[in-house]
Amino acid sequence: MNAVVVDGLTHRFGEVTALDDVSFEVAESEIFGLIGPDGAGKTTLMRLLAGLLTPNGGQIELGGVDVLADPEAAKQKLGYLSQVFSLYGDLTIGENLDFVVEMFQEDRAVAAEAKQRLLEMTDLARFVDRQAGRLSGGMKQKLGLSCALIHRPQVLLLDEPTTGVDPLSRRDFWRLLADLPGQGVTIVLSSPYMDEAARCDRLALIDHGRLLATGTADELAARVKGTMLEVVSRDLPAVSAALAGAAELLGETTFGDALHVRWDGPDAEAAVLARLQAAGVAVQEVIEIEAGLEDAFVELVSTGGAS
Amino acid sequence: MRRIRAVARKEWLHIIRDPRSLIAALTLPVVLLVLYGYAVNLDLNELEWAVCDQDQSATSRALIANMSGLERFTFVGAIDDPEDTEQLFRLGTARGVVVLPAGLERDVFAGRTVPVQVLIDGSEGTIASLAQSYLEGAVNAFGAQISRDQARRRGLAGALGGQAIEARTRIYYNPDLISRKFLVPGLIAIVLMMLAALLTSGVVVRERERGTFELLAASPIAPSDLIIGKLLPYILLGLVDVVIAVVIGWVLFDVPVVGSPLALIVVSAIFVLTASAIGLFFSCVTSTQQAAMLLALASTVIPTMLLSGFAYPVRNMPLFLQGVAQVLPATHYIALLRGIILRGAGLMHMWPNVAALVAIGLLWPTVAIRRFRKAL
Amino acid sequence: MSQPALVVTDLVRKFGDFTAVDHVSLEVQPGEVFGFLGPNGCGKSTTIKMICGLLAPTAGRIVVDGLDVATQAEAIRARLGYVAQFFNLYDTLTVRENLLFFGGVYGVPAGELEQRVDHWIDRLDLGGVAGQRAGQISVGLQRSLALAAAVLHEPVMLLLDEPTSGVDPVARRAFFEVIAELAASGAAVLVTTHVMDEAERCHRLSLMNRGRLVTEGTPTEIRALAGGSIWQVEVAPAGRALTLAESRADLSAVALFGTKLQYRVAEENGTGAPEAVAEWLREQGITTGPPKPVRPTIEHVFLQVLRDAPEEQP
Repeated sequence: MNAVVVDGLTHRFGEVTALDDVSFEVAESEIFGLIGPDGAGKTTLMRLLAGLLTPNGGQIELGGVDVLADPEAAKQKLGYLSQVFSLYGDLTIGENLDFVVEMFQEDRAVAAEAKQRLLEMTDLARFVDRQAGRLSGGMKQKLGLSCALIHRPQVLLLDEPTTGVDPLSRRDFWRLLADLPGQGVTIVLSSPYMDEAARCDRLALIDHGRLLATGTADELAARVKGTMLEVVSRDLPAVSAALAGAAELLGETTFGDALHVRWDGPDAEAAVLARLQAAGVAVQEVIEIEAGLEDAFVELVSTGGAS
Repeated sequence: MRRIRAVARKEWLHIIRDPRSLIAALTLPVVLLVLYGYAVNLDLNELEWAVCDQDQSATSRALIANMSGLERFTFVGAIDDPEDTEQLFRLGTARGVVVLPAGLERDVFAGRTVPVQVLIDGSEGTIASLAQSYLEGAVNAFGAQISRDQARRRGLAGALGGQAIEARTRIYYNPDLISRKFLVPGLIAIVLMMLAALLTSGVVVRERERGTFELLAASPIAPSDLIIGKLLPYILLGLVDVVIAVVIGWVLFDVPVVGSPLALIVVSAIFVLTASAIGLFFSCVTSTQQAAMLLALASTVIPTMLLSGFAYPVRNMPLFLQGVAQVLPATHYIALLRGIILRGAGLMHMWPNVAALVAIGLLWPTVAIRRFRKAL
Repeated sequence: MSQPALVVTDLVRKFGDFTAVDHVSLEVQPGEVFGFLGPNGCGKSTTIKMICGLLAPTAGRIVVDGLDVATQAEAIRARLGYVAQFFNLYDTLTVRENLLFFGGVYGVPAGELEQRVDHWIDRLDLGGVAGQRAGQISVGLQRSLALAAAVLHEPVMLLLDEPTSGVDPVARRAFFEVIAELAASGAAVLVTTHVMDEAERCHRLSLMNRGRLVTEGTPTEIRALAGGSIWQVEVAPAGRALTLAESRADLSAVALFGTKLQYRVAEENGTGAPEAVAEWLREQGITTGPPKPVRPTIEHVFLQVLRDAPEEQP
């Protein structure tokens, strides 16, 4: 059974169509990532799923419950972590957790056990009496996650959970998420980070309120045309100039000391190297690299998902 | 119930963890009432008074001599015509004028009670009220003394209770003289109204501003549970303010609670609930704390000050404003407070006010709950 | 060689007992994009604020374009462009009004102001929102606006404090293209970040942790610091495979990417080690595919460097 079914979801803010006929399904115990540019409609979609907004059209089903028909029953089944820190800064970690337990009217004995387990899992047990406002960004997110999980939801909604959190804390956070599918929790999350997208089982690319593509990270990356090459050189502008105008050149991106070139032709590595040598440009390295999700993202967004 | 309790507990934690607003909530009634206390507690150290002696008799001269000898009474002179009184008041020469009518001595000896007019400059309310009571007191005391003398001379014990001369006061400029006793209950109501509405005006909109609203909205809590839970701690806080205000009224203004303290607490709880719900209502319909605060203040304090009968009697207002006054919770609360604190009246005797207060007290939380939207 | 755009020598900043910046020295040349990489609270922003003259150093020297910050702060400000971590332009002014205002504040000649504002509105794709209030445009566009406001006066040194946090990849690419252009035209750029693909776009990088600079080099040099080799293998069930891999002391950087398990094998374990790990997983009842090598990223090195750092403070 699918944990989340979204069908024909449309939402407008006045004249602006924030989401346009979006449909997808998320299987039970799956980690599903919503990836899209700023303003693509990710947060609107998350809020619709969480029952915080009422759509102009379409259907949402969470854990078998029709969200539009019975939003309060659906809320009981879901945990939601919003993009902004939405816990009480002047309440302690323990008080925040207790408050959520009461909101969801969990059995107190069961909740106490869940609280203890979450505090240990997130390593927050030592700080249980500390006010939430005095925690670091990473710890706030862990507390937010704990609050979203304490009533043992079937579906966990995470809206950009690691934006602004440093890599170390992000890694810890993902380690916590990794255990949840094993416990039957389905996760839907949004993220602007491509390396994070790669950690999801399946992804949906969203742009301008429309779903461009869904699939695994590999499936999406495979949609990138051509071969990705990394050219390392001390004189990147010369490399760029030498390659300019080639019919095979699909695109290039400048990195600090390297140029990523997307080349549509046989023997790409040799062809590019030959062209650079012919132009007398000294390069340290030309190697084939795997097209990343970011490349797929950029391509799909620029072609509107038509490829 | 669990959710109401949890919300109430959480709000209570917010209150006690924010020392600034807690201190403000507890000291503001003290500050406001004490400030007012000093303002009205100006002692009248010197009462300048004049006389218009139209009798020019031994008795009238005796009265003038008697009063001039009193402590704090400064005799500034005599006028011939009562019409000159305004001139004296305008120049500030005298605060009161005693008019002794022609035929005073004759009527006193004939055993009639003679009315003596006391004219008061009412432009400064509190001073005027003191001047009035001083002058009336002095005139009446003299009148009583004459009666006793006459009784003794005639050997008639029955005339003991008589009053040969009685002061009849007319106040210039401010006919409804404000008295402290009259003011204190109104002051308590205004301070409570302001504080309760102010404190709750932030509680929903603040959650929206800080983002914690998303957590609430994503939880299955019912709007009524949330609103009621949020109101409870503020009612408690408001009742603490009631106690503070009443104690200050007692100690500083010498206005003890004559009636039942329980009745006082009950009506205060209903009033604080209403005022808090009004604040909460504005918190539900605005998007910034400043806007909610301003609206709450403007819509509670101003009408309460002007229309609730705090200082200006409702019966003197145009009919339309009298109607408005009836829907203000403070109108009924002030009436009830005056009844309980000053007169010791029971709630049964003031049931129309009680009923009106309860009705308004049920209305506002309902409005707040209905206007609360669990959406972003 | 021209004089460095920025020379920081032995910079120290203490807040009470806490040393936020601990003897930091660095140099940024004109035309260079220098990345400052580190976790939250490592001292990156404090360092930037001292370079801007917004915060006085406890000790050390900062020289911008040959001028000492301690004595010539005002002269330096005219040579600096600063994009703060949090949006700090006027919400209620339009995009264009903000730019005209900041251009004026920084003394852009009146005759050129309009033209420069138009140029940057065009270059940073702000044309569509030029008449909208800054508070109402998207985060990505606010970032672009902040950048435009910081470069109107053609600064020698551009300081960017986490300029693209919360910005999507497409906008981030465009943003860094503009930064690369600014550098190519001779400006020095110092950018703090904890986003790895931003780090990849810098000419030189410095890793900062707990107030100290840990290592420095080009992105390629930094990547080369990764010890051992990193492998990736398809696993099922993924959760159990992750727990198993974590239980092995000889594996590090264990992480799950969807159904792919990543792990690092130390060099001394030999060339057969990656396959041996997969074999061991199979013995434990995990279905696996063949291990494939993964190119180390800056993030791998970053996490490796920080791994030994004491535990996170609340």
